[in-house]
Amino acid sequence: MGPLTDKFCIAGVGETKHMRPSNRTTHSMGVEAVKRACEDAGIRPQDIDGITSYNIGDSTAGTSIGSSLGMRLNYAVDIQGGGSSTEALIAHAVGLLTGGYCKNMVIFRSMNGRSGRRPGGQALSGPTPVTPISTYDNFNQLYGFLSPGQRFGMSCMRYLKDTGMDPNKLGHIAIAHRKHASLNPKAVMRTPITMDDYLASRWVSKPFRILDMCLETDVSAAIVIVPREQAYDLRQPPVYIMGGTARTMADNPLWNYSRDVIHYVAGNYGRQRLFGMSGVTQHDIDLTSSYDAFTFTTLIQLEAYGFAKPGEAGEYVASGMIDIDGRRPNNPSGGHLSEGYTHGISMVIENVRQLRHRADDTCPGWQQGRHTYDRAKGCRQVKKAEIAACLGWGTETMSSSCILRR
Amino acid sequence: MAEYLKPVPTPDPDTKKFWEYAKSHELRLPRCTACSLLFYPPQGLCPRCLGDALEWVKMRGTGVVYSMSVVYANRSKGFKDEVPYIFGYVTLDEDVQMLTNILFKGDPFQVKIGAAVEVVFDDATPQVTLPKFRLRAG
Ligand SMILES: [Zn+2]
Repeated sequence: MGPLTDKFCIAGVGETKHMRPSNRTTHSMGVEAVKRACEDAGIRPQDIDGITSYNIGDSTAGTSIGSSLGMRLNYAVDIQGGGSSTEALIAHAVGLLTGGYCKNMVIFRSMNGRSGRRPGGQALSGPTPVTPISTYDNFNQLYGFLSPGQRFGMSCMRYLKDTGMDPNKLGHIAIAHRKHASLNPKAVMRTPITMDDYLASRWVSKPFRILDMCLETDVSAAIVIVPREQAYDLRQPPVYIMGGTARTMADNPLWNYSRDVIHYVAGNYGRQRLFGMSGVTQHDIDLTSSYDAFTFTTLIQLEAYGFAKPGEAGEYVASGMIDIDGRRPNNPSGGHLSEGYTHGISMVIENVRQLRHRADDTCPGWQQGRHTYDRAKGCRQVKKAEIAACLGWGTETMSSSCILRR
Repeated sequence: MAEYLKPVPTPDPDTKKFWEYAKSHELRLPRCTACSLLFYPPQGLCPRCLGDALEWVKMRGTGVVYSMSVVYANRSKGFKDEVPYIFGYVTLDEDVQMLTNILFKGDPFQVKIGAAVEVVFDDATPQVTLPKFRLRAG
């Protein structure tokens, strides 16, 4: 087992509802999510002295959330970023706890992702202002290259060309995640879909149809991380952090499109570090979570982290592997495609609940870990859930990850 | 001329020449005089050897589509009346890739990876000209 094993635990998770729209401030939602995560853990916010968050200029600072919850902080930082930030902040928390800078940590994300600023910054009226952040951004925006879908679409098109994969295979990801969401009372979209539904859905940015794309929602979610010794005194079965990658970048990230194969994504650079640190192999992983902002981002992450061979992720997802009753379920919550978009934190939260064997479904005994495993009756608990891999994605060139165990 | 509602570049010392050449309908990219790397987008030093002696080399203006997206939904004013539009990466004959729009008439799906393209210059505003690409025969 790797160097991190058993030292730190995710002890609490919590979130607001997914709302469309919230009619609330990111402050109000953030306070609720942190409070819920603390309640889940059985820890008082006052016993947490470190708070971190991530945002894209669309949220509230951790200092404000901490203040509202009566926390006397020894650390507060808000990082810039969307996808890949959750696992990065888990690594960040581990560092702070290891160094003795903090006793316990909480990570949150709070966003009006639907009613407020939307990813890509597409304004509803008027030209998108070009801010002189970098030359790279300037050049992108001039040509109407504004949203993540447009960007990742290019990688997907080239992937399809290079591998010869049948593009309809992307539909299997949408279908599986929607099936999982049908078992998740929190999910926004719960009606199962078929391949016909998928193929009939409209193009948004070819190669992506509307059913390839995530559901923007207003939501906040939080995770409490504590040292192992502390976790034993708390309310939930501890979930141990085995290892991870903080925020791995591809070689030459700014130049990714002009120099490299564009679908050779950052996870390829993080894979060995992730499994090396965690002391396990892909074979040991019972379930995965992928950053499914798009069906394709799931596909390419499964490949980058070595769950499927290069060019074979389409077969992997079409084989039933990622289904809740498959060999290695992916995103049993329904993920961003069907539960709702949180910039990644909700997938880590789902894995924590699965590893506790306490998926919050409609089984009467779920809070005690008693499940029927009967999908017809609404059970969402994965049968074998001992070790989970969380695959975070920011862009093709930015990735993060962690491996958790019960 | 209708008001131009799309973003315009903010030239800085690293990119100023690129836009000046574009305005005179020339596609030029920086090449490192030390290691001869040709690169895009422009920046002030060579990303390979970090040399800062750069020369601006005229491109033939022809290449092939490396990849692209066909955009059907963009709510921004400047783009919303133009959908579907295509942006993509073009591999120039000089073996360097550029982000650009790929112009087409009719069915956007006729534009495919590997399609032959050539540069055209879009005089977007009196100040700004954008290099774009269109399909070319053979
Ligand atoms: Zn050089």
